[in-house]
Amino acid sequence: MKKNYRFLIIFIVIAFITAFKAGKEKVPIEEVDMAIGTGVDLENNNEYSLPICVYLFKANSIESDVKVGKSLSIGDTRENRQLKNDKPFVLGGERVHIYSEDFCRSGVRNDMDILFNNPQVVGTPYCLVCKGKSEDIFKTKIKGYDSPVDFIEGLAKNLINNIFFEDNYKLIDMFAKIDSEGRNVSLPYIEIKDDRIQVTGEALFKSDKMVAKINVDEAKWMNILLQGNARGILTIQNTPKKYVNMEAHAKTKTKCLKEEGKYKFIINVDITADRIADEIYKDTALFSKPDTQKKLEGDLSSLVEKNCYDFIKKMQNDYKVDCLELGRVAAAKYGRDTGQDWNDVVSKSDIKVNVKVHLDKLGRGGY
Amino acid sequence: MDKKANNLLTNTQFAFIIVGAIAGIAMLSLPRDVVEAAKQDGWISVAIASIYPIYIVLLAGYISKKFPNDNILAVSKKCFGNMFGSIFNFLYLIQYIIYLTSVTAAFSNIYRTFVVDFMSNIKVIAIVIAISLYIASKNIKEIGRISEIIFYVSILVVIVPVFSLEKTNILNILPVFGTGAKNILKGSLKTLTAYSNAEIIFLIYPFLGDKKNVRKFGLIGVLIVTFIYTWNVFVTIFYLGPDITVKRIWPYMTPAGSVPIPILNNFIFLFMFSWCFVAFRSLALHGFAIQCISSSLYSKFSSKKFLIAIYPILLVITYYLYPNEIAARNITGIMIPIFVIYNLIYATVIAILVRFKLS
Repeated sequence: MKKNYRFLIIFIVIAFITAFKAGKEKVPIEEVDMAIGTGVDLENNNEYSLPICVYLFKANSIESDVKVGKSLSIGDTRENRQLKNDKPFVLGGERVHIYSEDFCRSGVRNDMDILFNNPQVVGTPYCLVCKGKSEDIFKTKIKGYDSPVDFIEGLAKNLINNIFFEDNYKLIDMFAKIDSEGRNVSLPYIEIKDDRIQVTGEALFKSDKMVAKINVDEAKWMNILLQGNARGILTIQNTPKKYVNMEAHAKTKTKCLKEEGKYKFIINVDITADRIADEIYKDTALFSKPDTQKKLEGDLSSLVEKNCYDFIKKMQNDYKVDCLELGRVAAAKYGRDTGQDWNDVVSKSDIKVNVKVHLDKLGRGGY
Repeated sequence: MDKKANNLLTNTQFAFIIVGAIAGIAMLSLPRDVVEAAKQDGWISVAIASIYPIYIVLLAGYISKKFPNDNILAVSKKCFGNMFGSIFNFLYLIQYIIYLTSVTAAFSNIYRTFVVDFMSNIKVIAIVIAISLYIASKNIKEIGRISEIIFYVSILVVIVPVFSLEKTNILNILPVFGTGAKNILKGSLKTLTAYSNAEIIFLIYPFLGDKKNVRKFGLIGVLIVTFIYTWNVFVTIFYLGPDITVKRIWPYMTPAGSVPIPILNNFIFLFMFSWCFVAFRSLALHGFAIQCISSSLYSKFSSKKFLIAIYPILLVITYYLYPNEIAARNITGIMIPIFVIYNLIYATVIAILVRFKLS
């Protein structure tokens, strides 16, 4: 028994020492700057300006503030920011990460490096590219939100609904993609339009540099062609009053073949469509004539196929980036580290798209 | 040390001590070393490299059949005579001192990077070595129990990455065998460092209650370790792909740490908490080996006193030999292959001598 008391005392002493003398003071959250959103801007092609969006806690409300550090290198901006700031700042709670377009075009590798290295940084923030300066985005006031970060996070999170965007814009995805063989990053592109922050397309990257911006319509077809699951709306329209809307769920699988030294890619798109509005085919025809359903499915698949081929043509001739991750499929089948530039290979190879549409739910009934 | 009947290991405890001695700190850094050489086939390299511990276990099974109550230190004295036997055993002691100090340094570096960045190196080292030597000063039965309990805790460390599997892609590990046999074997050589310390079986087989089971439960232990290592490299490649795995200093932390859980930001703190038991287990077993060897070298000196005497020495070695992770990896990168070769030759020669000279 005596022995046990001795250990108990030692344990209590150690617990007290660690609790009160651990080396760092504990401070309440109001006295540190928890970064909730970070941005990177490039000014005059040589000066980095890193705005950090933080919460300001008040008695009954929360506001957000933007604190900017400027310097010639990214890590050094902390020094400059501290000169204008009354609190220490802490990373780890950020939810969005916004790059300005200028910075992306000059390459994001140095920012990836500092984030990859920092053990406090988690992989969960959404990454986006903005037009102009990210500082302006963080300074926007949005009605009903404590900070623009809350709004942008929701914006990025919900892109998976209705426009075929996929859930792979997080920081961890950036880490996993930039240097992987046969993969390229694409990020949502936001800008301030009509006093609102909105997504106006997608930024395509080649390695760590942004090379092109595509609009929302192109981004839709690109995301259908990307391997994985995507949900969105497909529309066949003849006149303003004659159209069909379908809620589609596209599942895409890519295959790669090698014929006489040339790569050939086959993209199989399998779409399950639910009817949301139908002003062309109508219920009476759908239920009485079996051909009508086939015609509807055929029309939808030819619509998707045509647009997909248009996008692929543009990708191969204008952007010259493998934004469909086809190189990855080829590398996984025919070996890695062969020294091939997959962007180049994909731009020159033959890509075939097979679209299959299945009509699934019809809703309550056509009016 | 007394070897009473109630002070012996059960079969499972024996297997778990072997698991604990091998699967320690290397779990976190292993994928980087292997994937550098063998790319997406790293996990095959790891499975192949298990030949080394299996060979060691088979030798131990053989020696234990002839000398069931003497550990390798006593057997080597019988083989080479008292003088040479002691010299070889002293080399064995140096080996365990390097293991213990390098693991402590790595432990300190990991914890100061991810969790306790406000603590200084010497504080962490002092606490870690003190705890491990305290456990090592206990007798074998208690160490066996600790190994058994911590094995169940460590299952958490192994299972956690399952929850991050939704983010993985099968394309990351294809094509299988794509890097060629040469690179896969090169990766296996790098894995040997992680499998080192299987030699602890030579020291603990006299403590096993059922002496016939040394080979069987030794092999079970080694197979568990092989599974853990293969799974851990596989899941890291599966998650990150071969190109990104080599960028992390401790790659296994990424799939394990990225599991989202409510309230806490991510799993990293819980992971580190459960993982520190794994590290303490392997450190304690290294300490136990040191204590075993020292008591065989100077039988007059009580082994507990020896552990107290060696504490400041270990502290100084750890603090000055490994100032940072680069130094720790360089030194272990040079020393451990030498130890592996030494162990292979030493154990094989003893087995041959046992067969022809002492039988």
